[in-house]
Amino acid sequence: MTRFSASAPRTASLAAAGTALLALATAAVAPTAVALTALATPAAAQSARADRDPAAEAFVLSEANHVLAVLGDKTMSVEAKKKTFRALIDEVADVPKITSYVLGKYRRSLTDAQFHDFAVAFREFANTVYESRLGTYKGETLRVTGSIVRRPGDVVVTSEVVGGQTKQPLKVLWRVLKGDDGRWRAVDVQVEGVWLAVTEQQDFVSTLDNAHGDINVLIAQLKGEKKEAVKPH
Amino acid sequence: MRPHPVPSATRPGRRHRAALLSVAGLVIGLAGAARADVPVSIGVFLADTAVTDTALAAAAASGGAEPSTLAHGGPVVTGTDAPGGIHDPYEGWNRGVYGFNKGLDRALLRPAAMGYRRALPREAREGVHNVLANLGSPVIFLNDVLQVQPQPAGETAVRFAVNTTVGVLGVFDVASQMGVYRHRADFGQTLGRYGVATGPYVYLPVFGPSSVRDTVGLVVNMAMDPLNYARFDGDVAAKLSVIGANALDTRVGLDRDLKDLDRSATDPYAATRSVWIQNRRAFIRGDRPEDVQDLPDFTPDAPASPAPSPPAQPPRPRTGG
Repeated sequence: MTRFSASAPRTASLAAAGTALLALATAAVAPTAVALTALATPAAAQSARADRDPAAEAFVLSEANHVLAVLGDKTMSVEAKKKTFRALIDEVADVPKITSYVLGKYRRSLTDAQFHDFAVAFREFANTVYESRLGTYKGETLRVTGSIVRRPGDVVVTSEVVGGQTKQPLKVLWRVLKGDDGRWRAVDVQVEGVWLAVTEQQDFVSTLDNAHGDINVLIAQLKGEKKEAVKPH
Repeated sequence: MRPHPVPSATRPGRRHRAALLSVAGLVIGLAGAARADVPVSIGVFLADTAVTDTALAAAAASGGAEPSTLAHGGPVVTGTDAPGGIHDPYEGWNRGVYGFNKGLDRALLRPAAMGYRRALPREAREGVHNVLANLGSPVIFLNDVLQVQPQPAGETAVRFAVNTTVGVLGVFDVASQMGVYRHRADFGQTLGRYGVATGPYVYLPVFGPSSVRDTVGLVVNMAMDPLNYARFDGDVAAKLSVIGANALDTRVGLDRDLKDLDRSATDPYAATRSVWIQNRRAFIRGDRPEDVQDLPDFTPDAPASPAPSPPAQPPRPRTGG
């Protein structure tokens, strides 16, 4: 939420006084080191190497900048942006892996044909969802702050989104995997602690649970045909 | 149900006030139960049991334990279920309540919030938002203290002091302009940081997504609000105004995220549950990084792959039920 700007010059000097007050208060209560220590010792340290992966970080930074450049391009029409993103998606994200993942326990029980139908519907659904948000970009930028190697080729890259509508830096995490072709791609993204693909899986699996595992019910919902198909009971 | 803790009524007038505040508490809860500050969202819907409020009610929280083991590093976070997984043994009931809340929102809260949005210009609404946020500082401060978080506590205190004075009773968020940003803290979070387990998922009437632990936190949090204890001429009107404004402000702020979630989820109840618990866990984790080993595998043949568990059925044993 945005702030209400105070502009009177009087405010500035008072704000300076406030800053002094703040310095005093923080000095009195001291331990900024706590936060730093917490950051420096990830819980994962015992179970895996907590090294950073510069290649994964570079991937996130360059793809993010690419995407943001397209979003911020005022000379491009919305239609052109949509086209660009549809072409870009497979470069940025590992769509096949995500598609399998969001089906959860139901993935294994699907025939190839059923999986194919779902994959088509899912891709179209995702495109529609993202395209509806193209207009919400207001000049935010992203900076990569670090990474945690989960296992080789499986990295969580940490970043911050600043500027635009963000009042304070917004933490965004990227789960990136290195594919067989040696290229990095994202499979999940976390904002405010919420992983997108994880949420998607739990949403879809619940829908399938309530539809006795009928993939066609889920596909129909993705196509927006019957939003009411899953009745709460 | 009387979720809004009001000091016991001794006179008929007081009882009447208590009832009024209870009802109003429900309304604000609906809004307060779900709150979002998420500009980049795919239906990120973050529920915050911290209904915005005030508090210097140290009395309400006196006796809060501050074990010396927490002196550095703060309380320990426990619970490492799969992200988004939470036990939901009352799903049938919860879904019923979810439907009820949706109806209430459609019939009452959203229309009111949209009217509010139309009636006031953006700047005025931001001023209202800032005043309400400022009124919530004391409760945040108190929980910062209970969590042995000196720096956040200091920031909250400074924000309250600066915004109440320089910011003209909180209308202007001068502190943020100085780089002292607002953070949230509530008693459910405090409990979580002291190791109290989440417990089963509970979808509360009006208040929305919660857990057993966070429902307790919600009640205590409201008891910490000094506004509840203030007595002055016209206090009921003032309190109702704050509660109503909170409801409208929160609902307006949430509108886009809620619409996104309804549109992009095939089972909005399940999606809300997943989003709520992930966000709540992150909130309790604070600056501590997530254990990346808890994340699901995306490669089917990855070694030691704990198969992604279905939602609502994490491996954690439960008591009772």
